Amino acid sequence: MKTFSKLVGGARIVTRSDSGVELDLSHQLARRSGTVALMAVALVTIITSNVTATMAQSETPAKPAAASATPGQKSDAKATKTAPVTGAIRGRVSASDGQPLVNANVMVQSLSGTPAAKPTRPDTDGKFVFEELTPGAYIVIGTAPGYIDQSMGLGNPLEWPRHLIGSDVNIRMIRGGVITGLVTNPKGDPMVGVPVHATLASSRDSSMLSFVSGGGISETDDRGIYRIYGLLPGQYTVNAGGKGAFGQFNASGFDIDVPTYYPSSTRDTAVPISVRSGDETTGIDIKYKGAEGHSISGVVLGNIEASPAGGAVTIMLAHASTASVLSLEIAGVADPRRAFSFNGVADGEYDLFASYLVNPNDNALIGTKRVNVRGGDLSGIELRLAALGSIAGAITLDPIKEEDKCDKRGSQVIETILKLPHDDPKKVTNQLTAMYSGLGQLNDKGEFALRNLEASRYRFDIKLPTESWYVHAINLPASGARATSQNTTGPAASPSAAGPNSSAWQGILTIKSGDTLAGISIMVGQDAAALRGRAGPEGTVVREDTHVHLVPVDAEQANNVLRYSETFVKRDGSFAFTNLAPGRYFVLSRVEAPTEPNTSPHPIAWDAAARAKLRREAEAAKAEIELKPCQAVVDYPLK
Amino acid sequence: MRNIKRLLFILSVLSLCPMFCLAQTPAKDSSASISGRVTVGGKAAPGITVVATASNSFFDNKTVAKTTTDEEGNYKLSGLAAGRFTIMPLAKAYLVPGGSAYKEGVNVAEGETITKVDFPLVRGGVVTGRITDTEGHPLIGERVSVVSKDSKADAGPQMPMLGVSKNQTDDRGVYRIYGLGAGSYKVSVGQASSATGAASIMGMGGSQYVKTFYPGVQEEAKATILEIKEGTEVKDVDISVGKPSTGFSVAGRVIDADSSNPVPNVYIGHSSVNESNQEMAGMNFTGNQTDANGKFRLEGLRPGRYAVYTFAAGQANSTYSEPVQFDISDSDVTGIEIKVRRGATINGVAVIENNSDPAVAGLLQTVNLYAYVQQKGIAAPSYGTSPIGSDGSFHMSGLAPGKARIGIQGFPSPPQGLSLVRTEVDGLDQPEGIEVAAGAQVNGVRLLFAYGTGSIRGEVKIEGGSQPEGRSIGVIIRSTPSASRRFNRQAKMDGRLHFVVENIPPGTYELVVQGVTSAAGAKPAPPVELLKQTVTVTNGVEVKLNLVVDLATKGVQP
Repeated sequence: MKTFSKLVGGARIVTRSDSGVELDLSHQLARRSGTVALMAVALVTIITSNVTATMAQSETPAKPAAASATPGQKSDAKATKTAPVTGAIRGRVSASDGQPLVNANVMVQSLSGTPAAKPTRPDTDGKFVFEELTPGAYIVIGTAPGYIDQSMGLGNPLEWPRHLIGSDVNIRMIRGGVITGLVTNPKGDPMVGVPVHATLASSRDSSMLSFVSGGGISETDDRGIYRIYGLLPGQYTVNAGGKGAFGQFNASGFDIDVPTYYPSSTRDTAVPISVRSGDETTGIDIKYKGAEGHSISGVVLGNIEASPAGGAVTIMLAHASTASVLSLEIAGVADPRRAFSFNGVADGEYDLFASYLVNPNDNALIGTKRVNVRGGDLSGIELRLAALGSIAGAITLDPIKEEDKCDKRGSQVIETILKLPHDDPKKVTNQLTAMYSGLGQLNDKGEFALRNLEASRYRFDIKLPTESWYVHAINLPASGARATSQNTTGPAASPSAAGPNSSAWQGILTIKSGDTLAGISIMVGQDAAALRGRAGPEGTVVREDTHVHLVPVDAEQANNVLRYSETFVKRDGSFAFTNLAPGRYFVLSRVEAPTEPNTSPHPIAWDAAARAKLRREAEAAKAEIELKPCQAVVDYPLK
Repeated sequence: MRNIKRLLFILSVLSLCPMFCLAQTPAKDSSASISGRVTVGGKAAPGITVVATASNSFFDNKTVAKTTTDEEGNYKLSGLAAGRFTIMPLAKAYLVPGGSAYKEGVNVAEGETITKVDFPLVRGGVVTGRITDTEGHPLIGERVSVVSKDSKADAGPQMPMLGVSKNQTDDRGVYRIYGLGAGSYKVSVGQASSATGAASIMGMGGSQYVKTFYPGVQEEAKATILEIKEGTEVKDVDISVGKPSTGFSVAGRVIDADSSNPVPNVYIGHSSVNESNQEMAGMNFTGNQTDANGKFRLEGLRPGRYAVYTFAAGQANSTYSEPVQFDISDSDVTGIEIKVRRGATINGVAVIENNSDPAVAGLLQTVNLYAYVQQKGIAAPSYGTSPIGSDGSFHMSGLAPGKARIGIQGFPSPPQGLSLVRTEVDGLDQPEGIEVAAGAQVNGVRLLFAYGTGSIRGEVKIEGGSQPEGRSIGVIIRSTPSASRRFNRQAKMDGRLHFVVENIPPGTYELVVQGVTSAAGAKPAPPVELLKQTVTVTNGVEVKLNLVVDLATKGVQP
């Protein structure tokens, strides 16, 4: 069921909310003609899943069962009764000029994408409030016709900001941009009914979403004019021809043609168009060429345990260089042929991506292939599906006496945000795979599951709901450890390069294709310390890229990456560490090379060699501090 | 209940396929061609692109050939294999007068030369305007509907995915609808007050605004009628709508009828209730389900009478519910209690008769069986499904009492050539479906399938007069009345009255040529039988038929 809804992230909202709202919301997410596209998505969602099976499956969205079908329904219900802690999320919706947007609709979504409360309209000052929310990490979404909640961007919904109860959320909405122009044939006559697509060129993340959401699609009218609205600011390529909006399954008649890019070219020489918030970019006229394209066809293979009529394999065609999705095909998973075919393809390099999601609690199966089209049709392409990996486990709080806890907020484990970034900061998850992977789905018992992980080395990224907690330890299940000692044959996951006498967490989790690793234990301490301070007196000019590191003094912790911390010194000279394990640390500041843009942050200590070097430097610098449980140092003078 | 069927029709998806698509037989010979002429207002239309599209499934429609008309407006699409193609000139601002069709389905036989697939076009009319709210703000992405003055605005829902992004307002609130045939029209925006007859799936097809007709009236009778002529543009058809209505909510809970325990995680559906005939209209499935305490809440309901029920389906489902009715007038409704009951089960085996091919036998594992219990009046739709095990066994549960009709679904379509031809309970034929009592366990069901690759292709010639106005010709292949195995399939017709039926199991059938009169809104008249003959079908063989209907002696009834 979530094949498609995950695909568009927010579309999941469509499938689970009330009618009036989802239209509005889908409009927002899809921006512009998106309602329609998402309607189609919803429909495809129904169609491509074994709807009946999914319905019967009765997934509990608010309580994602970490270990799939656990017989825990009743105890869950009891747990709900005994967890009366609720709170509010409030905020304000405004346009970029600060004026309240009273026309907006605001909704709040839980971690699993389920509406957590009835959507609301802001008051005359733009203010809104959601009361009686149970603890959790929520997405708060503003929608207003013609406006875009910029916090969501067009990127991966998993990256959208999360809010805990008690937060104040300021939603600034910008007016979407417009691209308009005329499409003519080689004789100069206007062309009627041609699909025109605008694709955000400046972000790899966006291409899938803009494709699926109908992100920027229009059709020329009887005068040959198209108008694409609600666009995020950015650089776009615009093309005429090809398929219609996602979800329109009829043949447009232009699908056989290679799309013509503005002004009258192939994709490689397309002229990018700049769109600014609220602006109308006019005169983007396209001289349509109408050259027939080639076809790419083949079959999807793989030993899939398919339930009859149990949904569809989706096959996407994406530009290899830009990852922008050009077309999508659907093949029946139980259909013995399981064939696909794309037409209207220009010469060039492409990625084919097939995926199949058996059910929402399983890993997706994916298959990819890069192909080259050079002057002719490609047929007989075989895409073989293989399972993605997953991990599961539990987050537990260290037992501690009530009076020793330093959190006064009443934080709950379910408010934790758990992510699994690649160890290699330059490695970007295949954008199409990313559609399936999720945030750590976490329930109120602290059980989590992260699914649809491609084979890679990963690190944990754990965002705790309070400064008073720290990650005390991460333990892999015994089987994982045993696999490490054998050191070669298919460990499901292993602390990499661990010395025989080192039990400290070094932070790397290796997932191989189709691995499922359960029983990971994340232990969280409840008496964290904090360290704040300044680099020099007021007015000191701090060099850009000055980092401060905390390095554990205890030699036994030398390879425990959980004991290392790193932060920037702000321009005003201040710095802050929170969520620290109590203990003794070396404090070291140094100037480091700026991180490359568009890579995930990668703390120095994650690399064994760099960590050792950092430790040597820190020992030499001899600045040491002892942090007691719950201690908050506020004025540490940095040397 | 027509709309519920429609929903099931969507859910079971490519039961759609028999109606919408024809699989392309493997191309053996691609020497067929289609030619014709495109004219505008009787004059040659040069430089018009004409394409042939083919459909492999509902989701897979592609353009397979294209050409351009010459100076005389002539075109020829060649290099076509046998199959069914849709021919269309890429000229959406134009239409064939008297109909909206500017495309034509054509059945092409191997190597056939087809001529005179002509498109005598005229330029359609245009309606354009702006939709605003009471404060003059544009309504963005709102769907505008332009309907002929005689058709009822709420004449049922449109299939949500057909013509989706059409006729919507842009960021300025501006809409522009073109390609309209000459005639009298009403323009409206928004959703009818109680959405009678509107089916919505996951909220599709809704609008937050009350249906408002040009020039800004809610009563359909007061709508201004626009006269649209060929090739003309009617401007400034602006409509101002009232405030968006968020409607009212209904809340309640679902409990087990026997134990009174709350039932979590069941989907909730609702329908409008037509009080005069006590029937449910439309079926709204928002995706809402009950929480851990069995509680549910639906939003956005307009004033009117409704019925709410659980919408559970699938093999794991074992219950059904009786709808609970309520009225929405000017406030939210709470305290609704839906009781679910244990449904009936149907258990049995499915077999393919007269088959020794293991590949064919394996086809049963690629489909899902479904049972749909037809009920009259106010009743929740009841729908059970089951895969077929490798031993042929199946198990469906949660069915409401009534007549359960069994069918197959597959994705994207059930395999070609597989037909359910007989349903038995304990060896007895059940031609009208299986009668299930409340909570009953029906065992010993036997589903007999036939598999075949025979086909019938032919053409119908009409002689001795012309067809009465509004009557079209259909061809049906069906089992003979005395046959113990049932088969009934409508042939795909084209404008030349060429027809084809493929993947027929071997056997002897009745072929019936019918005159079908379709009158909009009115109850359709029963088809008139114009010709009937017996045909014997063998696997892998195409029977070719030339049928002549002499209207002078047959069926020219009024």
